[in-house]
Amino acid sequence: MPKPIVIETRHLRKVYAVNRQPTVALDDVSFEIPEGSFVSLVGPSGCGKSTLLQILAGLVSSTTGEVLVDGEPVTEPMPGKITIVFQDSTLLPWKTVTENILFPLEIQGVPAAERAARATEMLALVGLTDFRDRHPHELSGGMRQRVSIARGLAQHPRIMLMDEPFGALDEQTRLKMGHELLRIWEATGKTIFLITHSLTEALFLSDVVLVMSHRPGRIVGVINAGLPRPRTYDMVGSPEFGAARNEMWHLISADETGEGLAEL
Amino acid sequence: MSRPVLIRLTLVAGFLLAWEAVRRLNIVGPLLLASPSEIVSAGVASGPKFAVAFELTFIEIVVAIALSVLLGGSVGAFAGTRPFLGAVTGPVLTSLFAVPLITWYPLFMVWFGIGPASKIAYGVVSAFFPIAINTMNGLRGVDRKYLIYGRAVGCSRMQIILTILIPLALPSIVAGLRIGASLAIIGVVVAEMLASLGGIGFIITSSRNMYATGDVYFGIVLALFCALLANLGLSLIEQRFTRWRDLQASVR
Amino acid sequence: MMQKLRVPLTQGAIGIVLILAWQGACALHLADPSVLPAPATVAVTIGQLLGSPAFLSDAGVTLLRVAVAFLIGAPIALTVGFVMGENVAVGKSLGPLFNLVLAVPQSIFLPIFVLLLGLGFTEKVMFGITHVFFVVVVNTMAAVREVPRDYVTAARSFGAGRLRIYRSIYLPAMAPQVVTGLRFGLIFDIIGILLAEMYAAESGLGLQLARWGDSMNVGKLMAATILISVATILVNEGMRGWESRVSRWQRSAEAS
Repeated sequence: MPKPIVIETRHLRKVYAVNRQPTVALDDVSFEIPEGSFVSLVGPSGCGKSTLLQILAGLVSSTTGEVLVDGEPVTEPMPGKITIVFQDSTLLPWKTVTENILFPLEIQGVPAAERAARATEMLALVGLTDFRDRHPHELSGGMRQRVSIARGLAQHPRIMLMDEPFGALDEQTRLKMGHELLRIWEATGKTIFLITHSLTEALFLSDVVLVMSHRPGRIVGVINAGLPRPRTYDMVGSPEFGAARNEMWHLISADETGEGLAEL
Repeated sequence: MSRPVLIRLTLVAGFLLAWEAVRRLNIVGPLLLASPSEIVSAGVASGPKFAVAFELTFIEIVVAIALSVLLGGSVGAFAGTRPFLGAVTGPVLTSLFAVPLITWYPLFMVWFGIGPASKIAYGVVSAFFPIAINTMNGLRGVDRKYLIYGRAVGCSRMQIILTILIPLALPSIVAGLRIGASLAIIGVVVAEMLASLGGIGFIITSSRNMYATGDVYFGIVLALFCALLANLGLSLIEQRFTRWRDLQASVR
Repeated sequence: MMQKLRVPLTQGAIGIVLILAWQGACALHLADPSVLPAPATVAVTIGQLLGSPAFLSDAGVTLLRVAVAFLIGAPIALTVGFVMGENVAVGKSLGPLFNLVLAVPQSIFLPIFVLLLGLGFTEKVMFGITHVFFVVVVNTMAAVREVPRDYVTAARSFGAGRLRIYRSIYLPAMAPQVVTGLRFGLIFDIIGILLAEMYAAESGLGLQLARWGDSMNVGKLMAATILISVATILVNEGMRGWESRVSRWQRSAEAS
């Protein structure tokens, strides 16, 4: 029984006018993300991944084409429906961990008791209950990202967008966070759309990987990860994984320059 | 107690003792210098006179600071939140900051008279610049990513300003207030010293003319004390708001 | 090109509008000319002052005091600041005392200088020196901290001598912060000298301003005040230009 589509993009195109020269950031991007799935987008630096994410989030409007969330067009941010986890956790530095999780809920008018309950629940989910009264500067990078994830999930969104969430972390933390994220995803069943440089990370985490070309960004391929769940890191060494990753690599390098690709 | 603190305390104590000694041994006469003990006794003797003067000076200072916060804060807020306005006003503010404002005081006296109004005007102008500039820079310096985050979670423009922008700009704003308060306090007293009808500065000058040296020094110490107190108070407030910022920076 | 000129053009336009409004207010007799002279009148007075030997003589006296105070105070402060910056123990002990002095405007101490040193040249210059001294010391100390220690270690490993290291590494690294300190020192010096002249003096621009204030000579007062303000702004901008030039390498390093 096919799952409902949470996000659908149709022929998205984004053109910027920089010094009177039009620059095409995105060119005819179309895809669908079914409910409860984990979809990643990989592409080289500057291919428009972040622009795409901002359009999905309603922070930026596309030049032509549309984005639909549950069938509704996205023209401005949909707080509580779409949440974003940024590469830089963007936690408010003067607030404690708990206050940071509560903040968007207060803005969105969630009643006090409910807010507190959600905060407690999400803190427990990401394993940071003991740090609820700490400030962001007292936490490590990985912990700050976990708070950011908790903050996003507490809003009970339809979809969580993640913009290179582990990009600022060292490799080992990155791997651990990947496992964490999958555990959280399986516990909550949230729809996740994650953007990354890393082919390995994308494949390891996702059901489906969208491969984007360099600028102007187009979807040049859709790879089914085809790996069983729950995922463990030794799957990365399997022939199926290698084949899928090679396929992605060929899609990207067949594209003109394919620069700036990071490998984990 | 750490070594540097000990050294500083020793130096200050030594300075005070030498100061006292210079007078006791009459190396410098009583008409030129008042020793710490002489300052204290002058203060006690002239206490009532100073108390009355202090009332006037205090009011002038409070009004001056209040007005400069209003003016400086508004200008800083507009310049800090509207990029074009900031680009136009910013350089003008920082350039004007260099002007010796004391040279405008005679004009203020012509325009506002010799009474409290000219002192208040001078205090306002003195405190205006650091407050406006720091408010502007504080607001401008806020990392846009926080504002984008506010939009993403559904904050209205006013909510972004009140709950995100201002807390982030607060350390800078309080720093501006600290500098402005010092300038206003000393500015008002110095203006009174130049020409006035009353106030601490008036007593300082009239005491000098009458060679009541103890009173001169006491008046200065009093003004100094007020300025340092304001500085300390605002410094503590500033630190309270800056704690997260300093630690955040050091973590990076 | 137009984009780059937008800001200065707007600033210029606002300035012109303000002056025209001022002139207009005076022409319409909205302001009492003995309280607020018209810009045209002020401009004429400025011209007269610049041609007046008495005014120029006073200006010369003030400038002399400012210059002497700076030329004595700055080198001493640079040395003290450098020593305090290099010697961490001394810096840690004494530094906070200097910061404490800077927390309060030194204008308040003027009566003490007059009592101890009189009204003459020495008193003015000493007052000016204290204004230069503390801010230059603090900034020079901070400048020493800007010296990249890795470069110094590397240079030593190449066998570079002390003087060479000071010249090629310390100097360019410290220059921006030192120039900032000197700029503040000069501005504070000017403020201090003018205040001292206004309070108690027998010559100088400050004294003239006080005299014109007493005799309610608004025309001359306004002209002289504006003249002094403009001159100080030019000095400040000049020093800022110097600051800019010595920190150019820093900005490109940061950008890369």
